[in-house]
Amino acid sequence: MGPLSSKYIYSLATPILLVFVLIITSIDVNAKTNLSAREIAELADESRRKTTDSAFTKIILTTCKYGISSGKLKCAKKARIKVVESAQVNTGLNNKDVKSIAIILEPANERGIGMLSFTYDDSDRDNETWIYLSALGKVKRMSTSSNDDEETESASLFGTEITIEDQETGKLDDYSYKILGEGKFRGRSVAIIESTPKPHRLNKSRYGKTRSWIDLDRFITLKMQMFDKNKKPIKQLDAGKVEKINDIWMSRSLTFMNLVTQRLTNMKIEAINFNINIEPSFLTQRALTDQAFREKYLIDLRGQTK
Amino acid sequence: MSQLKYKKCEVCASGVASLFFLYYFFSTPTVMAEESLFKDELSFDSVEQELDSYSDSDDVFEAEETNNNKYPGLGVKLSHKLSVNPADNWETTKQRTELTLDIKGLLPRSGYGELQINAKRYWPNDSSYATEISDIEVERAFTQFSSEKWSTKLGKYTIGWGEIEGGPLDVINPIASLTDPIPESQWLISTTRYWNNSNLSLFYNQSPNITKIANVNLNDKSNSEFGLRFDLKDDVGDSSIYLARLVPNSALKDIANGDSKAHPYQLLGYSANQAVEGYLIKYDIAYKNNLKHNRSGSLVSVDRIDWGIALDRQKEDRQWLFTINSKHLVDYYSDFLTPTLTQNVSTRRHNLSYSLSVNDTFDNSDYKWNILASSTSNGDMKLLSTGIDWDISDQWSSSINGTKIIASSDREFSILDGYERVGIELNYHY
Repeated sequence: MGPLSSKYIYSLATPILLVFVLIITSIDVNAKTNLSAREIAELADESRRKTTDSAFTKIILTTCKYGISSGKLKCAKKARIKVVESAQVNTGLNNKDVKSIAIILEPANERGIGMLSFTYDDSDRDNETWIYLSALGKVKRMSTSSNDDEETESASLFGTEITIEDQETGKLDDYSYKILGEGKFRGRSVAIIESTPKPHRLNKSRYGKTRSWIDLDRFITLKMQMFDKNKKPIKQLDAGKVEKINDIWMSRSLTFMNLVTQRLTNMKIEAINFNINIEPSFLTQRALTDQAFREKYLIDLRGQTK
Repeated sequence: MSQLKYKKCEVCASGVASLFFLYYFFSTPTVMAEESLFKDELSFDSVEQELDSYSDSDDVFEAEETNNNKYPGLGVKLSHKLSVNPADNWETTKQRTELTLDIKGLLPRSGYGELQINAKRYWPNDSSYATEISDIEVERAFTQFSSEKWSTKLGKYTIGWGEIEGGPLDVINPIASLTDPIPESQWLISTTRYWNNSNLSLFYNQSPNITKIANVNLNDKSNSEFGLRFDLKDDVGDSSIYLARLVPNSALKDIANGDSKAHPYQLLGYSANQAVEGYLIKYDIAYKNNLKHNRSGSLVSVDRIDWGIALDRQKEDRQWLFTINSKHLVDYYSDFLTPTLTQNVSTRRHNLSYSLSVNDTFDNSDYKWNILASSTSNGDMKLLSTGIDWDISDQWSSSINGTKIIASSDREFSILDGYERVGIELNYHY
């Protein structure tokens, strides 16, 4: 081999080596998951949907103005606490719609106030929410969405920082997804998925995009950041107290932080049970107005929770 | 191989590598993800983050323990209410303290019951002090028994008909006053039959509440009222049909003999709600048959069509509600008269009124504000009301509100012209 051949080999070595290194590192990153962003989002949605399928829960909602001191999250003022019972079932085509009812147990002056919600996977169908106004003796349907290019907010859950939209599942076709990164987060292997609403969904959503830190083993969301339509972060969700209940991984503590108003709501699941028999008739306006029917049914459901 | 060919190969290989590098860089950003995305800006309770020793039981926020309420079905509320009249040197018109006891709970044999008792103590500058120093009233008291398909409710409570509060169909329970939109409860019995997406309700009221006219004798309070309502839920929204024999909530003065009476009439109605382009549209329509009206020295029967439409929109925490209400006399004569406290005025065939209400919170804080502006289309009456509510804590709340009414002096609302009130309320809930 002549000197020109050797020089040729050496001059080609750099780009070849570079390509080799890139291929190796690429394989290494992609080897963490073979799933696409959309597939990860589907699995996370399916995991979350399991927690709403024939589920009965007792929830403590703690709302306060918060501060961060030495990295720790604390209430800056005395918290407002609500204790709520909730029943949910998955229904509709492929069980992708959710019907749920939430009843306030405490504080005493709000006891008995109920909210009934139907959320639909079909983006062409508006979600529906009703609340019972006992002083007026009627059920009132609440408006939950707006139109045009103005910012919107869906109804909040009993005045907390949690909105109906925050609790929605499904409507995956209304978003585009991409993986921002994969790595270790809070000791778990996660993928960071960025979801951006498509134009027809953008008008109905409060958020311009969301980022979700999804556990790649359990497919539960450990953290979520919500951005407004100017891509400014406005809300954050942190999940804690992760447990496996009835073979379903879930978080028993969800903290929603409104980054604009510096207020948070923590949703702590005191008791929960899945796969219990919830009659369709319980998830109707009757459960809001017929207190005898509702209370009798709630006693039966309470007996089944852990 | 010639030197030129070697150069070409070298350039070619470098170009391919560069293209590959650029393609990889832009198409697989996973490699380039910021490390900051994986850092936690919040600390978990018992975690040494540097040691990366997270456990599933950790949490970013520790909720406070709840105070277990020994008597979950018992509520006690203490209120102090003060109202002044700015138009009369800020003279006090209302000063009273109220104690409300609220009990809710299950009854034997799958029943449920509620009881609310309100005790009032009037202070010397309260307008009611001249007639009574204190008062105890049962605000609400009912029992309800339900089976799989049926439910029956008996006692003193409120039935709200229609989609629009105070609208054409919301006529069973009278509103306490112009500035207090909460309806008064009445002694009623009702029963409901339930199906999957529909239900049929019937109610009966043996002795309806009738608001008397000051210094006018009220004749014959013996009329009862009853009605039925059929509700249907479908994919579009909720709709209801109403049929009833009702007694008006207010007595009508007979100009001829100076007495008053609430004459029964018949109602056929329909209401529905529907979400359209982000608005929630609600509408009520009612055909009222055999209403009484004063005409040239006698009372005549007339029919009237009442309708209302409301646009409800939620934008962040702000709720907008725009309502139009209309009353149209089917039978009309130019010598129709409407009696007021001070005069008899001519009646218009068609009356239209508008209202716009907005309510919201200040920066999502514990302070809420509300504004209501209402007017008749012919300017006979204009009302402006505004208020601020403060949720001090779970136990304490307070509010301040103001109302002003302007009315034409020669029309039916003339007695309300110049009405002004500023009210303050402080509440404690146990």
